[in-house]
Order: sequence, then structure tokens, then C-alpha cells
Amino acid sequence: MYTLDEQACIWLNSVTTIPTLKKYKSLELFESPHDMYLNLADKKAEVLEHVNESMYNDLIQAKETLPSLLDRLDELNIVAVTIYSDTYPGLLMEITPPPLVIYCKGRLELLKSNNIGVVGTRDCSRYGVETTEKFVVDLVKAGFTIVSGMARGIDYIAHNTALNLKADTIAVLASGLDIIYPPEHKELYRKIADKGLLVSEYIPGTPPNGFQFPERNRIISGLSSGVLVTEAGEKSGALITIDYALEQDREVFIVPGPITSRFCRGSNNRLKHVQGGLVTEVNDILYRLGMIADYEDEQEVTVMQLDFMEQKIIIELEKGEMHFDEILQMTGLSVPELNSLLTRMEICGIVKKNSGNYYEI
Amino acid sequence: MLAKTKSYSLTGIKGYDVDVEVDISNGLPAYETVGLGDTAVKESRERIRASIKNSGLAYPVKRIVVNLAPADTKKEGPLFDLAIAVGILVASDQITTSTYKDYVIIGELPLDGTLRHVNGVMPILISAYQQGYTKFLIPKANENEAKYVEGIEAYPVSNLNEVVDMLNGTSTITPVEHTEYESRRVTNAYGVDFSEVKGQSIAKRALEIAVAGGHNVLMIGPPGAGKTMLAKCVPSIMPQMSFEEALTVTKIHSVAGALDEKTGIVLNRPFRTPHHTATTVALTGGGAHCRPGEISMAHNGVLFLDELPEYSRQSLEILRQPLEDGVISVSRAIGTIEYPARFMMIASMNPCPCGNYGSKKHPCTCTTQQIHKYLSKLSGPLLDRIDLHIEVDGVSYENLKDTTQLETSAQIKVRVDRARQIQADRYKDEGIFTNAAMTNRLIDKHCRISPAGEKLMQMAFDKLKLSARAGSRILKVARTIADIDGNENISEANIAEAIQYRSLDRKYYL
Repeated sequence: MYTLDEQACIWLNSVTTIPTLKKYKSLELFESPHDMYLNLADKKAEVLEHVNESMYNDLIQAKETLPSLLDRLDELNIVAVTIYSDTYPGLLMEITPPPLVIYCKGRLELLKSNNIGVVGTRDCSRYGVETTEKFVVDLVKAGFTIVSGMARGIDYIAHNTALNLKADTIAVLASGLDIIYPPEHKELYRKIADKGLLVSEYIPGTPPNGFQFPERNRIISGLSSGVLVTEAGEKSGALITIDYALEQDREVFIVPGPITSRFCRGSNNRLKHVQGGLVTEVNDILYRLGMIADYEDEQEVTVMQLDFMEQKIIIELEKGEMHFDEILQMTGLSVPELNSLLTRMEICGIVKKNSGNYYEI
Repeated sequence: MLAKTKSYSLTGIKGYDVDVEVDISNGLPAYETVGLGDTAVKESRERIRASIKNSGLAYPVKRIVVNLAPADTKKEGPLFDLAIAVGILVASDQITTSTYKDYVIIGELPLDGTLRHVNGVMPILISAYQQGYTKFLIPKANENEAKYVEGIEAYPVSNLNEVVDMLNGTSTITPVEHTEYESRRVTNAYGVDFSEVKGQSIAKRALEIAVAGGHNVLMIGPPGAGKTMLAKCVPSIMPQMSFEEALTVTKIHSVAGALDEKTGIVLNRPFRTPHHTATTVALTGGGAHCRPGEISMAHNGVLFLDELPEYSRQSLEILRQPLEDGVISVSRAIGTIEYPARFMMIASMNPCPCGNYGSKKHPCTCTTQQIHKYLSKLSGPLLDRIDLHIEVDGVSYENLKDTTQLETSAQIKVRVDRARQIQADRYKDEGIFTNAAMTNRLIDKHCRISPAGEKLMQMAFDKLKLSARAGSRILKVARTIADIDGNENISEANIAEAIQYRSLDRKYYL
């Protein structure tokens, strides 16, 4: 159940016509949100300095819809976390203005976990997908919860990679939590609600209006100690997240891309201005976040018993990836023999199959 | 005076006999054709008149009525010309004996009285023979089609005068000599042999497995990787068609008018490549005359669909039923016709719209969303019917020291034949011929795997993220691989190899 102050926050937040800053200004006139809820009429004149008449009327009206809103939240299994709640994450409190209420669905404890934002373009290239997957895998190993926006492209990869690793992930939506956007991500939505956490500052039923996307981005960076951008085109929304992150004193990490690729033009441009933002491996991030003192390239050594043929293949593959036909010629095996050998090595994780029948270590 | 001759017509590849009745009576000169003939039948009047005149015979200046019975079935095509002409000549007493009654007469007459080639002679002969007819008058141009049909006497005639002389008994014509069907297949019929394909060892092996087990294949690769050439090699390793198979294929091709006059029978397994703009009717068959479509033309052979996602969704979905049942039924105004359509499907596609995804030579410019959209054109049910998907990529052959002698199609075919034989023995009571046709019940029965193999499968699913529907396909393919090796049991290695042929299940794509 919500405390009276929390209920009042939910009430205040549900009035969408008043900008967040003005809500805070009005709130300052009262002792507590609950005080404002009860004695709004007493200080009407002062309140009207910050909001206009119609906004004021909306406030009055919202009192009537509050009980049905609370019922609806329960019905949808959504928990409202207000700035007066214990569960409200401290990091988010630092941003100006912090959202009065965030609606959450899933595992609330993730709000205060070690979060890192992983965002990027919706329109992504294979390179972006690969780098995102690589970084997410390593970040998960380092114990991070992956925060992203459940959009198409990089966001999807970030969430999905985390989920596949059975790791924690938070999706910050730009619509009410009962609206799945983009619609093709309903499976992802279900998984995150189940295994991770969905967050939105909009009351249920709010459609994904265009202006809400940049607003949402400030929560992604707000929830995280740093933001990683793996790929962003010239007009990508991820660039807005970078701006918010810088404004909020968050660390910004940018993966460099090929200068010829249009998919990386935005992120590469930002790299010119963000001091020390360039990252090529997860240790760069950990170092900057103070999670490791210093680092050197350390290679994990796995001990595995390889037979003669496998060793021969490994030695050749160390020079670079090879086509199936090249390995075939090198080893002198028959096609069926080599095929089954490579399948086994693949299952053991020694080699990796790339598209076009190429193999690499 | 009334004359009655016999002719024959077809619906689909099955035939029915047609009575051609000609009545000549006194009255104003006229010519009437009744019996639901199409335009080609109606126009026969002018051809017949000119033919009779130009053959030096007399065209009766009387009232002529021609009836094609049964009168309620639509007749089409020019193959009744000769039967009508003979009827007129009988009715006008220019043919005086009654031997004409013994013959089923088919042939088209042009204006000069020589006989022209007609379509569908082979199915007519077979169908009529089954109905009890044994003597035929056929155009000389069609005589090769008659030589493989046993038990009939087919008399090849080249012009109207020959027919008149023969029926009047003034000259004789020797019937077409029966030729035993023998394995005189032209190897390398499509001009390519597997030994000419450099590299591509995975693709070659996969095609060998596909042919051995009757599996459908999907080849994925950038433009110019050699997908079409590989597909063209497939007929060269397919088992020789049996006589029955060859006859069915010949019947279909004869109806479609695609039969080679010189050979008279289709000796090589068909290889059909309909363009991706092909309509559903072009694929399934149909139209006003219910002609067989591409999938029937590919019966007992290969249907090669290049650029699979470019075909219209409807054309692709229509393939599902024939891929399952091996027949296609076409319903049109003239009735429902069933054509056989048991083919091996080889499809090819690019990995993405620009074609370069995964290529080492050119960068791919597609977004993941575009790739996703491109791949989603292939429906799950259709992909379910494709057991092997392989990647074909052009490797730079300068790097490959080409010292080894590459295997020829003939060498591969030996293994294919052996594997097919094993399957034929195994399924002789099951009503199927190949591993690809196994139902779940049969998979349980014939694809038992060892605990080690089971474990390997499980690990592959976990580590390689195979999709759930891959399981039974892998088993089927592993069964075929074991058959190629001549092994009773599916080994762990067989399964490991089969896993390599499931490219689309792997997570290369989003």
C-alpha cells in the first residue's frame, strides 16, 4: 500500500498538463505532498503563480480519478515508486528534475543495482550488433544491470543479449507500461517484465508520443552510473542520451566505428568532443568507473584436451579466420569428417562459425 | 451418308475417346461442327477443305455436319482434323473399305494435306491402350512418342493421301517398332558436372545428402557465389529414372507441348527454373486449357527457385501442399485435373536485400531491420519443408592449391544410388521412398540415437541456439548421412555433421 505522501505524489504526477518543474515549485509551497493534496484550495493564490487556471482545475479533477488510477496500477501489477518511497534509486534523485513517480513492473530491487545504460541507433549495422553483444556480455560478467530503451536495433540487442545470459536488465519505456512499443517487441516486453524490470514515468495508457522519447532518455542515463553508446547515426536519439548523461555528470563511453560507415557518424562525431569517452573493451569502462585499479590485457587460459587434428586447426586459425575449404585442404580430412569435427569444436566453444562458412577462434 | 471415326482427347494427362460423326446430305453447301469444340476445332473446316482439295481429292459440295461425341465435354485443339477429314472422305465414298473403324485417328492438317505434329500423343496412346484400343493413325512427326508404348500398333502417316491409300488397301504402312526403354541417359545433360565446381565442398556434400534422402535444400549466398551452377549439377547425381517415372514425365511434357520430337521420351530428370515473377497459375498449372504448371513439369526432377524471397508470398505458399502430397489438383471450368508434382525443391536466396551480408568482398549496406524483413518473407511452414540450409560463398580460389582431383558426378551418384536402395528396402511397407518423407512416427522408429548422440544434440541446442523445429530435421538428415555410409545406426558424427546444415536456425541473423 502507498503512504499518504506517496498517494499524493501519484496524484500530482498524474496531471500531465503541468511540467515537472512547475509541479516541484508548487510542491515547495506546502509541507508535504499530502499537505498539498489536502490544503490545495488554501494556497490557491500562491499555486496560481506557478500554474495557470486550467492546470489548477486539472489538479482538482485529478483528485477524483486518483482511486481508479491506483486500482488500475494494482490490476496491471504496476508499482509506483515515488521520490518519497524507500525504493526510489538514489542516482535518479540526483538529476534535475527527478521524476516524481516512476512506474515499475518486475523486479524492483534492480532500481538500486549497479546499472549501466547501453544505447544506440535503431537503424544499426552488423558492426553495431557485434560490438553491443560483446560489450553486454562483458558488462554482465562484471556484474552490471543493463539499462536500455527497448527500442528496435541496438536497444533490442542489449536487452536480448542480457536476457540470454540470464542477467538483469531494465527497460525504460517512453509510453505507459501497458503499451508495448514497438509492437513487435511484445515477446521481449514479456521477458523483461518476467525476468527484469520495466520502468516508465508515464501513467498507464499514455501513448508513445514523440516528445516523450528524449524525456525517457534522461531516465536511462539517470538510472545508470554511465552510458555506453555502441553505434549512433547522425540523428540518433542515443546522442540525446549522451547529452543528458553529460548534464547529469554521468560517465559516457563511446565505441568508435569505421569512419566510412553512416551508421557510426553520430557517435564518431561525439567522440571528438567527449574527453576520454573512447572505449574498445570493457576494462576501459571498469577503469573509468573505478571498479578496477589498473588493467593490462589478460587472457583467460582455458585448459582443454585437444587431439592432433584439433590442434592443427587451432594453430592455423590463430593466424586469422579461414574458409571451410581452406581448412579442408589443410587438414586433408573428408567433408563429413571435418563437418562433424567443427561442430564439436563449436559446441565446446573453441571455434566460432561466421557467415559464409568461415571459421575463427 | 453417315460416317463414324474414332479420335481421342485429353483432360490433364488422362484421356477419353471421342466419336467423330460426319453426315453428308443434299442441300445447300454448308459445314457445321457441333460438340462443344473450341476455336481450333471450329476453324478445322477451312483446314480440312483446303487439305482435301490440295491432296487431289474431291471435297463434297453438299451439306456437311460434324459431331464430336460426347457432346457435353469441351473439345480443344486441332488433333481431330484427320479424323474429321477421314470421316468426310468415307461419307463421300472416297474411302471404300471399312478398315478405318479399327483405328483411333489423331493428327492436325494444315492446308497442303501433310500431317503436323500434335501435343499429347504419348498420354493419348497409353490411355487409349488401357481402354482397349490398339491401332492408331498418328502423324509421322509423333512417331517417336509411340515407340516406347508396348502392345500398340501405331501407324505413322505423313499426309492425307497416304492415309487414303492405306485405308483403301492400295498401300501399306509399317507400324512404329517398339523400342525397349533402356538406361541410355545422357550423362551431364545440363552441361555441368560436380567435378567442374571448384571449392564449395560443404555445398556439394549437402546436395549429395539432399539427393540421397530426397530432402529439399535452401542455398544462401551472395550473388555470383555459384548457387545456380551447383543447382544445375544436381540432376547429374540423381538416380536414373525408371521406365514408369520416365513415362509419367513424358506424358506431362507431351501435354504441355514441351517434348522433344526426336527422342519421344524424357530421359533425363527435368530441371525447371521458373522466374520469380511467375504467377501462381504458371507454377501450379491451369489457365483455360488446364495446362500443367512448372511444378508438374518438374515432376521426378528438380524445381529450382532462384531468389526465393522474391517470389510472391502466394506462389510460395501454394507449394506447401504439393511438397507434402506430390500432386497438385487444378480446378477450372472444364473440371478438376490432378497433375503429379513430386519434385525436389532447391531454392536459393541472398542473405540480405543487398546480397553482401557476410561477404568478404563487399560490405553489406542493409540495416538489421531490412534483413529481418527480407527473411520474414519465408513462412515457417515452408521452411519446415526444407531440411537443409547451407551457405554458399565464393572463396578466392587462388588461395586454394588445386591439386586434388575433384569427384565427378558419376562417383557421387554411386553413393546416392546405394543410399536410395537402402531407403527403398527400409520403407517398402511404409508407402514412402525417401527419408525426407518420414513422419514423426517413422522418425521415432528409424532414427534412434545413442545416449552420446542425444547429449550432443542437447549441447548443440544450448550452445548453438538452434530453434526447436530443427530437431526432427537434423535427425532425418543424420539418417540419410548414415545411409550414405551404409550404416544401420546413426552415429554421433552423423548428427554432428547434420547440425552444420541448419544455417537458418543459427543466430547469424537477428
